[in-house]
Amino acid sequence: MRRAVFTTICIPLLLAGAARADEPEPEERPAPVAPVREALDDGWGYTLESFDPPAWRRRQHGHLLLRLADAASYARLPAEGQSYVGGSLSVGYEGSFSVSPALNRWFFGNLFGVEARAHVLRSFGDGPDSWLIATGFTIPMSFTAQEWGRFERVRVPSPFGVLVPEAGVAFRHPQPTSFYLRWSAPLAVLVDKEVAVELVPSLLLLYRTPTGAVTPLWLLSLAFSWRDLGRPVMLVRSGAPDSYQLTPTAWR
Amino acid sequence: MTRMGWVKRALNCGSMWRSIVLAGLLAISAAACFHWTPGRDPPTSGLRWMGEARVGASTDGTVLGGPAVRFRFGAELSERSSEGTSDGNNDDGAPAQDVWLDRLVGSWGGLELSLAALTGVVAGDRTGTLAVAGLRPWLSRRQSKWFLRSEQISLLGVLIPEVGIAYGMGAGTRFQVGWDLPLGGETFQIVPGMNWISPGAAQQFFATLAFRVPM
Repeated sequence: MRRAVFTTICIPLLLAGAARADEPEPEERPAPVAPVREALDDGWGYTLESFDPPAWRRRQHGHLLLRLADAASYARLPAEGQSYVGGSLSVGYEGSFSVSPALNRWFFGNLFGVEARAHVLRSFGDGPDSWLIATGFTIPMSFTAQEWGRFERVRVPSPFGVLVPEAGVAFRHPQPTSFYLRWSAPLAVLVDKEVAVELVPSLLLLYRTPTGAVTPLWLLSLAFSWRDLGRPVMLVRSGAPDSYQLTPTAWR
Repeated sequence: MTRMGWVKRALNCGSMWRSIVLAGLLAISAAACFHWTPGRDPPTSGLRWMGEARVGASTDGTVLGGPAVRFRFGAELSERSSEGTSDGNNDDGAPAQDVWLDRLVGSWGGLELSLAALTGVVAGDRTGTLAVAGLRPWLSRRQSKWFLRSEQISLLGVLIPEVGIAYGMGAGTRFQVGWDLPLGGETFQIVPGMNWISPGAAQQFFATLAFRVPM
Protein backbone atom coordinates (compact mmCIF):
# COMPACT_ATOMS: atom_id res chain seq x y z
CA MET A 1 0.00 0.00 0.00
CA ARG A 2 2.73 2.47 0.96
CA ARG A 3 4.64 1.51 -2.16
CA ALA A 4 1.56 2.16 -4.25
CA VAL A 5 1.08 5.58 -2.68
CA PHE A 6 4.76 6.43 -3.14
CA THR A 7 4.61 5.30 -6.75
CA THR A 8 1.42 7.22 -7.45
CA ILE A 9 2.42 10.52 -5.89
CA CYS A 10 6.18 10.79 -5.85
CA ILE A 11 7.18 9.41 -9.23
CA PRO A 12 5.13 11.94 -11.23
CA LEU A 13 6.54 14.73 -9.08
CA LEU A 14 10.06 13.51 -9.63
CA LEU A 15 9.48 13.18 -13.36
CA ALA A 16 8.01 16.62 -13.51
CA GLY A 17 10.97 18.00 -11.60
CA ALA A 18 13.38 16.32 -13.97
CA ALA A 19 11.54 17.65 -17.00
CA ARG A 20 11.61 21.14 -15.54
CA ALA A 21 15.33 20.75 -14.97
CA ASP A 22 15.78 19.97 -18.68
CA GLU A 23 14.15 23.25 -19.73
CA PRO A 24 16.49 26.20 -20.21
CA GLU A 25 16.42 28.81 -17.57
CA PRO A 26 14.05 31.64 -18.58
CA GLU A 27 15.99 34.64 -19.75
CA GLU A 28 15.63 37.89 -17.96
CA ARG A 29 12.66 39.77 -19.37
CA PRO A 30 13.61 42.76 -21.52
CA ALA A 31 13.00 46.16 -20.13
CA PRO A 32 9.65 47.64 -21.07
CA VAL A 33 9.54 49.75 -24.18
CA ALA A 34 11.46 52.85 -23.45
CA PRO A 35 9.32 55.84 -22.65
CA VAL A 36 9.65 59.30 -24.04
CA ARG A 37 12.70 60.01 -26.16
CA GLU A 38 14.22 56.56 -25.69
CA ALA A 39 14.61 54.95 -29.04
CA LEU A 40 14.52 51.51 -30.68
CA ASP A 41 16.66 50.76 -33.67
CA ASP A 42 14.62 49.03 -36.32
CA GLY A 43 17.69 47.72 -38.11
CA TRP A 44 17.11 49.78 -41.22
CA GLY A 45 18.92 52.90 -40.18
CA TYR A 46 15.88 54.56 -38.70
CA THR A 47 14.98 55.09 -35.13
CA LEU A 48 11.42 54.72 -33.98
CA GLU A 49 10.61 57.25 -31.34
CA SER A 50 7.89 57.48 -28.82
CA PHE A 51 4.87 59.53 -29.83
CA ASP A 52 5.29 61.92 -26.96
CA PRO A 53 5.51 64.84 -26.59
CA PRO A 54 2.73 66.14 -28.82
CA ALA A 55 3.86 67.89 -31.98
CA TRP A 56 1.93 69.87 -34.55
CA ARG A 57 3.30 67.77 -37.40
CA ARG A 58 2.02 64.52 -35.92
CA ARG A 59 -1.08 64.78 -37.98
CA GLN A 60 -2.19 63.45 -41.31
CA HIS A 61 -0.62 65.61 -43.97
CA GLY A 62 -2.30 67.15 -46.95
CA HIS A 63 -5.84 66.85 -45.66
CA LEU A 64 -8.14 69.47 -44.23
CA LEU A 65 -9.26 68.24 -40.83
CA LEU A 66 -11.69 69.63 -38.28
CA ARG A 67 -10.57 72.17 -35.73
CA LEU A 68 -12.67 73.69 -32.95
CA ALA A 69 -11.71 76.47 -30.59
CA ASP A 70 -13.39 78.52 -27.90
CA ALA A 71 -11.96 81.48 -26.13
CA ALA A 72 -12.54 83.89 -23.30
CA SER A 73 -11.89 87.45 -24.37
CA TYR A 74 -11.25 90.84 -22.90
CA ALA A 75 -11.67 93.84 -25.19
CA ARG A 76 -11.14 97.55 -25.01
CA LEU A 77 -12.86 100.14 -27.16
CA PRO A 78 -10.77 103.29 -26.69
CA ALA A 79 -13.09 105.51 -28.73
CA GLU A 80 -15.93 104.96 -26.28
CA GLY A 81 -13.81 104.32 -23.22
CA GLN A 82 -15.49 101.00 -22.62
CA SER A 83 -14.26 97.55 -21.74
CA TYR A 84 -15.89 94.33 -22.86
CA VAL A 85 -15.74 90.70 -21.84
CA GLY A 86 -17.05 87.75 -23.75
CA GLY A 87 -16.09 84.75 -25.76
CA SER A 88 -15.33 83.46 -29.21
CA LEU A 89 -16.10 80.26 -31.04
CA SER A 90 -14.24 79.03 -34.11
CA VAL A 91 -15.07 76.12 -36.39
CA GLY A 92 -12.90 75.31 -39.33
CA TYR A 93 -10.88 72.91 -41.37
CA GLU A 94 -7.13 73.00 -41.22
CA GLY A 95 -4.41 71.04 -42.92
CA SER A 96 -0.70 70.51 -42.55
CA PHE A 97 1.23 70.79 -45.80
CA SER A 98 4.80 70.49 -46.99
CA VAL A 99 5.86 73.88 -48.28
CA SER A 100 9.19 74.58 -49.86
CA PRO A 101 11.53 76.36 -50.17
CA ALA A 102 12.08 77.48 -46.59
CA LEU A 103 11.33 81.10 -47.44
CA ASN A 104 7.85 80.19 -48.63
CA ARG A 105 7.31 78.03 -45.55
CA TRP A 106 8.33 80.92 -43.33
CA PHE A 107 6.32 83.56 -45.20
CA PHE A 108 3.09 81.65 -45.84
CA GLY A 109 3.35 78.95 -43.18
CA ASN A 110 2.70 75.23 -43.37
CA LEU A 111 -0.69 75.01 -41.68
CA PHE A 112 -3.57 76.41 -43.73
CA GLY A 113 -7.30 76.32 -43.38
CA VAL A 114 -10.63 78.04 -43.57
CA GLU A 115 -12.46 79.03 -40.46
CA ALA A 116 -15.78 80.54 -39.38
CA ARG A 117 -15.66 82.58 -36.21
CA ALA A 118 -18.15 84.20 -33.88
CA HIS A 119 -17.40 86.70 -31.14
CA VAL A 120 -19.79 87.79 -28.40
CA LEU A 121 -18.83 90.74 -26.21
CA ARG A 122 -20.68 92.74 -23.58
CA SER A 123 -19.59 95.91 -21.85
CA PHE A 124 -18.98 96.09 -18.15
CA GLY A 125 -18.18 98.81 -15.68
CA ASP A 126 -19.28 102.38 -15.99
CA GLY A 127 -21.00 103.60 -19.08
CA PRO A 128 -24.01 102.52 -21.08
CA ASP A 129 -24.78 98.87 -21.57
CA SER A 130 -23.47 97.74 -24.94
CA TRP A 131 -22.99 94.44 -26.69
CA LEU A 132 -21.50 93.15 -29.91
CA ILE A 133 -21.94 89.93 -31.86
CA ALA A 134 -19.53 89.51 -34.76
CA THR A 135 -19.43 86.67 -37.25
CA GLY A 136 -16.90 86.26 -40.01
CA PHE A 137 -14.57 84.09 -41.99
CA THR A 138 -10.82 83.91 -42.28
CA ILE A 139 -7.95 81.89 -43.71
CA PRO A 140 -5.65 80.94 -40.83
CA MET A 141 -2.05 80.48 -41.88
CA SER A 142 0.54 79.48 -39.33
CA PHE A 143 4.00 78.08 -39.10
CA THR A 144 5.48 75.14 -37.21
CA ALA A 145 9.09 74.23 -37.65
CA GLN A 146 10.19 70.64 -37.99
CA GLU A 147 13.60 71.44 -36.65
CA TRP A 148 12.59 73.19 -33.48
CA GLY A 149 13.06 70.12 -31.29
CA ARG A 150 11.45 70.78 -27.95
CA PHE A 151 9.54 73.73 -29.42
CA GLU A 152 7.63 71.49 -31.79
CA ARG A 153 4.58 72.04 -29.58
CA VAL A 154 4.61 75.71 -30.51
CA ARG A 155 2.75 77.24 -33.42
CA VAL A 156 3.18 80.84 -34.47
CA PRO A 157 1.33 82.83 -37.13
CA SER A 158 3.11 83.29 -40.43
CA PRO A 159 3.78 86.87 -41.56
CA PHE A 160 1.29 86.57 -44.41
CA GLY A 161 -1.21 85.00 -42.03
CA VAL A 162 -0.98 88.00 -39.74
CA LEU A 163 -1.64 90.32 -42.66
CA VAL A 164 -4.69 88.46 -43.94
CA PRO A 165 -7.69 89.69 -41.93
CA GLU A 166 -10.83 88.00 -40.79
CA ALA A 167 -13.80 89.71 -42.43
CA GLY A 168 -17.40 89.75 -41.34
CA VAL A 169 -20.36 91.61 -39.93
CA ALA A 170 -20.67 92.98 -36.41
CA PHE A 171 -24.13 93.38 -34.92
CA ARG A 172 -23.99 95.98 -32.19
CA HIS A 173 -26.34 97.50 -29.65
CA PRO A 174 -27.05 100.38 -29.39
CA GLN A 175 -24.62 101.20 -32.21
CA PRO A 176 -25.55 100.29 -35.79
CA THR A 177 -24.48 97.10 -37.49
CA SER A 178 -21.16 97.39 -39.30
CA PHE A 179 -18.64 95.58 -41.42
CA TYR A 180 -15.47 94.54 -39.61
CA LEU A 181 -11.93 93.36 -40.25
CA ARG A 182 -9.90 91.62 -37.57
CA TRP A 183 -6.19 90.88 -37.52
CA SER A 184 -4.90 88.37 -35.01
CA ALA A 185 -1.60 86.76 -34.08
CA PRO A 186 -2.40 83.52 -32.24
CA LEU A 187 0.41 81.85 -30.35
CA ALA A 188 -0.52 78.22 -29.71
CA VAL A 189 1.05 75.51 -27.57
CA LEU A 190 -0.07 71.89 -27.69
CA VAL A 191 -0.82 70.47 -24.26
CA ASP A 192 -1.96 67.14 -25.63
CA LYS A 193 -1.95 65.47 -29.03
CA GLU A 194 -5.26 67.06 -29.88
CA VAL A 195 -5.59 70.00 -27.52
CA ALA A 196 -3.82 73.34 -27.57
CA VAL A 197 -3.86 76.49 -25.51
CA GLU A 198 -3.75 79.69 -27.51
CA LEU A 199 -3.07 83.28 -26.60
CA VAL A 200 -4.61 85.56 -29.22
CA PRO A 201 -3.97 89.29 -29.29
CA SER A 202 -5.99 90.95 -32.02
CA LEU A 203 -7.24 94.21 -33.45
CA LEU A 204 -10.76 94.53 -34.77
CA LEU A 205 -11.74 97.51 -36.91
CA LEU A 206 -15.43 98.36 -37.07
CA TYR A 207 -16.36 100.25 -40.24
CA ARG A 208 -19.39 102.47 -40.37
CA THR A 209 -20.60 102.67 -43.93
CA PRO A 210 -21.15 104.87 -45.81
CA THR A 211 -19.19 107.43 -43.82
CA GLY A 212 -16.13 105.23 -43.56
CA ALA A 213 -15.55 106.07 -39.91
CA VAL A 214 -13.52 103.39 -38.22
CA THR A 215 -13.59 102.33 -34.58
CA PRO A 216 -10.74 100.13 -33.35
CA LEU A 217 -11.39 97.42 -30.78
CA TRP A 218 -8.44 95.71 -29.09
CA LEU A 219 -8.90 92.14 -27.91
CA LEU A 220 -6.93 89.64 -25.89
CA SER A 221 -8.23 86.09 -25.84
CA LEU A 222 -7.26 82.87 -24.15
CA ALA A 223 -8.45 79.92 -26.20
CA PHE A 224 -8.59 76.16 -26.01
CA SER A 225 -8.63 74.35 -29.32
CA TRP A 226 -9.17 70.78 -30.36
CA ARG A 227 -7.90 69.29 -33.62
CA ASP A 228 -8.65 66.13 -35.50
CA LEU A 229 -5.48 64.16 -36.17
CA GLY A 230 -6.87 62.15 -39.07
CA ARG A 231 -4.97 59.01 -39.85
CA PRO A 232 -2.14 59.11 -37.34
CA VAL A 233 1.45 59.37 -38.35
CA MET A 234 4.53 57.88 -36.77
CA LEU A 235 7.62 59.93 -36.23
CA VAL A 236 10.73 58.30 -37.62
CA ARG A 237 14.09 59.81 -37.00
CA SER A 238 17.02 58.95 -39.18
CA GLY A 239 20.60 59.04 -38.03
CA ALA A 240 21.14 62.74 -38.04
CA PRO A 241 19.56 64.66 -35.19
CA ASP A 242 16.63 66.82 -36.23
CA SER A 243 16.15 64.77 -39.38
CA TYR A 244 12.66 63.35 -39.42
CA GLN A 245 10.26 61.53 -41.65
CA LEU A 246 6.58 61.10 -41.13
CA THR A 247 5.19 57.68 -41.84
CA PRO A 248 1.52 56.74 -41.80
CA THR A 249 0.95 53.95 -39.35
CA ALA A 250 -1.31 52.83 -36.57
CA TRP A 251 -1.01 54.04 -33.04
CA ARG A 252 0.88 51.67 -30.82
CA MET B 1 -27.38 101.64 -56.47
CA THR B 2 -28.12 98.84 -58.90
CA ARG B 3 -25.50 96.32 -59.82
CA MET B 4 -25.14 97.70 -63.34
CA GLY B 5 -24.86 101.18 -61.98
CA TRP B 6 -22.10 100.08 -59.66
CA VAL B 7 -20.17 98.44 -62.48
CA LYS B 8 -20.56 101.51 -64.68
CA ARG B 9 -19.35 103.72 -61.93
CA ALA B 10 -16.46 101.40 -61.18
CA LEU B 11 -15.21 101.23 -64.72
CA ASN B 12 -16.19 104.80 -65.55
CA CYS B 13 -15.54 104.25 -69.23
CA GLY B 14 -17.21 107.44 -70.36
CA SER B 15 -14.15 109.27 -71.54
CA MET B 16 -12.52 108.55 -74.83
CA TRP B 17 -9.01 107.87 -73.60
CA ARG B 18 -10.11 105.36 -70.99
CA SER B 19 -11.99 103.46 -73.64
CA ILE B 20 -8.88 103.45 -75.81
CA VAL B 21 -6.73 102.17 -72.94
CA LEU B 22 -9.18 99.40 -72.11
CA ALA B 23 -9.55 98.39 -75.74
CA GLY B 24 -5.78 98.30 -76.18
CA LEU B 25 -5.27 96.16 -73.13
CA LEU B 26 -7.97 93.75 -74.16
CA ALA B 27 -6.43 93.50 -77.63
CA ILE B 28 -3.00 92.73 -76.19
CA SER B 29 -4.51 90.11 -73.86
CA ALA B 30 -6.32 88.46 -76.71
CA ALA B 31 -3.20 88.49 -78.87
CA ALA B 32 -1.14 86.94 -76.10
CA CYS B 33 -3.69 84.19 -75.50
CA PHE B 34 -4.13 83.36 -79.18
CA HIS B 35 -0.40 83.42 -79.79
CA TRP B 36 0.14 80.69 -77.24
CA THR B 37 1.00 77.61 -79.22
CA PRO B 38 -1.51 74.93 -78.32
CA GLY B 39 -0.52 71.33 -78.01
CA ARG B 40 2.80 72.03 -76.35
CA ASP B 41 3.45 71.78 -72.68
CA PRO B 42 5.77 74.58 -71.65
CA PRO B 43 7.47 73.99 -68.33
CA THR B 44 5.83 76.89 -66.50
CA SER B 45 2.47 77.11 -68.13
CA GLY B 46 -0.57 77.06 -65.98
CA LEU B 47 -1.94 78.91 -63.00
CA ARG B 48 0.37 80.32 -60.41
CA TRP B 49 -0.27 82.50 -57.40
CA MET B 50 1.87 84.88 -55.44
CA GLY B 51 1.52 86.47 -52.03
CA GLU B 52 2.70 89.94 -51.15
CA ALA B 53 3.19 92.11 -48.12
CA ARG B 54 2.58 95.58 -49.53
CA VAL B 55 2.94 99.08 -48.14
CA GLY B 56 1.94 102.25 -49.91
CA ALA B 57 1.91 105.98 -49.38
CA SER B 58 0.65 109.09 -51.08
CA THR B 59 1.46 112.75 -50.72
CA ASP B 60 -1.69 113.57 -48.71
CA GLY B 61 -0.44 111.62 -45.72
CA THR B 62 -2.03 108.29 -46.55
CA VAL B 63 0.05 105.34 -45.41
CA LEU B 64 -1.45 101.90 -45.92
CA GLY B 65 -0.26 98.33 -45.71
CA GLY B 66 -1.57 94.81 -46.00
CA PRO B 67 -1.69 91.60 -47.96
CA ALA B 68 -2.03 91.20 -51.69
CA VAL B 69 -2.36 88.17 -53.89
CA ARG B 70 -1.83 87.67 -57.59
CA PHE B 71 -3.18 84.88 -59.73
CA ARG B 72 -1.34 84.45 -62.96
CA PHE B 73 -1.99 82.27 -65.96
CA GLY B 74 1.12 82.12 -68.05
CA ALA B 75 2.41 80.19 -71.02
CA GLU B 76 5.32 80.34 -73.41
CA LEU B 77 4.26 82.46 -76.33
CA SER B 78 6.43 80.98 -79.04
CA GLU B 79 8.78 78.09 -79.40
CA ARG B 80 12.45 78.95 -79.30
CA SER B 81 15.05 77.63 -81.66
CA SER B 82 17.70 77.29 -79.00
CA GLU B 83 17.34 74.96 -76.03
CA GLY B 84 19.43 77.37 -74.01
CA THR B 85 16.62 79.88 -73.99
CA SER B 86 14.06 77.69 -72.36
CA ASP B 87 15.99 76.47 -69.37
CA GLY B 88 15.97 79.71 -67.48
CA ASN B 89 18.87 81.57 -69.01
CA ASN B 90 17.76 83.87 -71.72
CA ASP B 91 21.11 85.14 -72.86
CA ASP B 92 23.26 82.06 -73.20
CA GLY B 93 23.20 80.42 -76.53
CA ALA B 94 20.23 82.33 -77.86
CA PRO B 95 20.31 84.00 -81.24
CA ALA B 96 20.64 87.77 -80.93
CA GLN B 97 17.27 88.26 -82.54
CA ASP B 98 15.63 86.14 -79.86
CA VAL B 99 17.43 87.98 -77.06
CA TRP B 100 16.25 91.37 -78.22
CA LEU B 101 12.75 90.14 -78.87
CA ASP B 102 12.80 88.69 -75.40
CA ARG B 103 13.93 91.96 -73.87
CA LEU B 104 11.50 94.13 -75.72
CA VAL B 105 8.41 91.98 -75.81
CA GLY B 106 9.04 88.90 -73.70
CA SER B 107 8.52 85.29 -74.40
CA TRP B 108 6.02 84.41 -71.70
CA GLY B 109 2.58 85.87 -71.38
CA GLY B 110 -0.86 85.55 -70.03
CA LEU B 111 -3.28 87.27 -67.70
CA GLU B 112 -2.81 88.36 -64.12
CA LEU B 113 -5.45 89.17 -61.55
CA SER B 114 -4.34 91.06 -58.45
CA LEU B 115 -6.24 91.73 -55.25
CA ALA B 116 -5.09 93.75 -52.27
CA ALA B 117 -6.58 94.97 -49.00
CA LEU B 118 -4.56 97.79 -47.48
CA THR B 119 -5.28 99.35 -44.10
CA GLY B 120 -3.72 102.27 -42.33
CA VAL B 121 -3.91 106.01 -41.94
CA VAL B 122 -5.84 107.93 -44.57
CA ALA B 123 -5.12 111.60 -45.23
CA GLY B 124 -3.07 111.72 -42.08
CA ASP B 125 -5.97 111.84 -39.65
CA ARG B 126 -8.20 108.78 -39.79
CA THR B 127 -8.07 105.02 -40.11
CA GLY B 128 -9.17 103.53 -43.38
CA THR B 129 -8.99 100.58 -45.72
CA LEU B 130 -8.44 100.54 -49.46
CA ALA B 131 -9.28 97.48 -51.54
CA VAL B 132 -7.57 97.34 -54.92
CA ALA B 133 -8.36 94.92 -57.72
CA GLY B 134 -6.70 94.85 -61.11
CA LEU B 135 -6.32 92.82 -64.26
CA ARG B 136 -3.51 93.05 -66.74
CA PRO B 137 -1.98 91.28 -69.65
CA TRP B 138 1.27 89.89 -68.42
CA LEU B 139 4.42 89.65 -70.49
CA SER B 140 7.85 88.71 -69.24
CA ARG B 141 11.21 87.31 -70.07
CA ARG B 142 12.53 84.04 -68.76
CA GLN B 143 14.32 83.64 -65.47
CA SER B 144 17.76 85.18 -65.33
CA LYS B 145 18.48 83.74 -61.87
CA TRP B 146 20.25 86.80 -60.62
CA PHE B 147 18.69 88.57 -57.69
CA LEU B 148 18.77 92.20 -58.70
CA ARG B 149 18.28 91.52 -62.33
CA SER B 150 14.62 91.62 -63.06
CA GLU B 151 13.67 88.05 -63.78
CA GLN B 152 10.40 89.00 -65.37
CA ILE B 153 10.91 92.31 -66.99
CA SER B 154 10.39 92.84 -70.64
CA LEU B 155 10.01 96.41 -71.77
CA LEU B 156 6.46 95.96 -73.01
CA GLY B 157 5.58 93.90 -69.95
CA VAL B 158 6.64 96.71 -67.64
CA LEU B 159 4.83 99.38 -69.60
CA ILE B 160 1.51 97.59 -69.79
CA PRO B 161 -0.49 98.65 -66.74
CA GLU B 162 -3.06 96.80 -64.76
CA VAL B 163 -6.49 98.35 -64.82
CA GLY B 164 -9.16 97.93 -62.22
CA ILE B 165 -10.91 99.50 -59.32
CA ALA B 166 -9.93 100.91 -55.98
CA TYR B 167 -12.57 100.91 -53.29
CA GLY B 168 -12.09 102.99 -50.20
CA MET B 169 -14.35 102.73 -47.18
CA GLY B 170 -16.26 105.99 -47.22
CA ALA B 171 -14.58 107.13 -50.41
CA GLY B 172 -16.43 104.97 -52.89
CA THR B 173 -15.17 103.17 -55.95
CA ARG B 174 -12.58 104.67 -58.28
CA PHE B 175 -11.00 103.60 -61.52
CA GLN B 176 -7.29 102.85 -61.14
CA VAL B 177 -4.30 102.12 -63.32
CA GLY B 178 -1.21 100.48 -61.85
CA TRP B 179 2.34 99.61 -62.78
CA ASP B 180 4.92 97.54 -60.97
CA LEU B 181 8.53 96.62 -61.47
CA PRO B 182 9.35 93.18 -60.10
CA LEU B 183 12.99 92.93 -59.04
CA GLY B 184 14.32 89.69 -57.72
CA GLY B 185 14.61 86.03 -58.26
CA GLU B 186 12.47 82.99 -58.53
CA THR B 187 11.61 82.78 -54.84
CA PHE B 188 11.57 86.37 -53.62
CA GLN B 189 10.99 89.73 -55.23
CA ILE B 190 11.02 93.36 -54.19
CA VAL B 191 8.43 95.19 -56.23
CA PRO B 192 8.21 98.97 -56.37
CA GLY B 193 5.03 100.15 -58.01
CA MET B 194 2.46 102.85 -58.42
CA ASN B 195 -1.30 103.12 -58.54
CA TRP B 196 -2.86 106.04 -60.35
CA ILE B 197 -6.27 106.32 -58.75
CA SER B 198 -9.07 108.15 -60.50
CA PRO B 199 -6.90 109.54 -63.30
CA GLY B 200 -8.08 112.77 -64.78
CA ALA B 201 -10.38 114.06 -62.08
CA ALA B 202 -9.46 114.17 -58.38
CA GLN B 203 -6.56 111.99 -59.26
CA GLN B 204 -4.21 110.54 -56.69
CA PHE B 205 -0.86 108.82 -57.00
CA PHE B 206 -0.15 106.00 -54.62
CA ALA B 207 3.41 104.68 -54.47
CA THR B 208 3.80 101.11 -53.28
CA LEU B 209 6.52 98.72 -52.27
CA ALA B 210 5.79 95.02 -52.07
CA PHE B 211 7.69 91.98 -50.84
CA ARG B 212 6.51 89.22 -53.10
CA VAL B 213 6.89 85.48 -52.61
CA PRO B 214 5.74 83.37 -55.58
CA MET B 215 4.26 79.97 -54.83
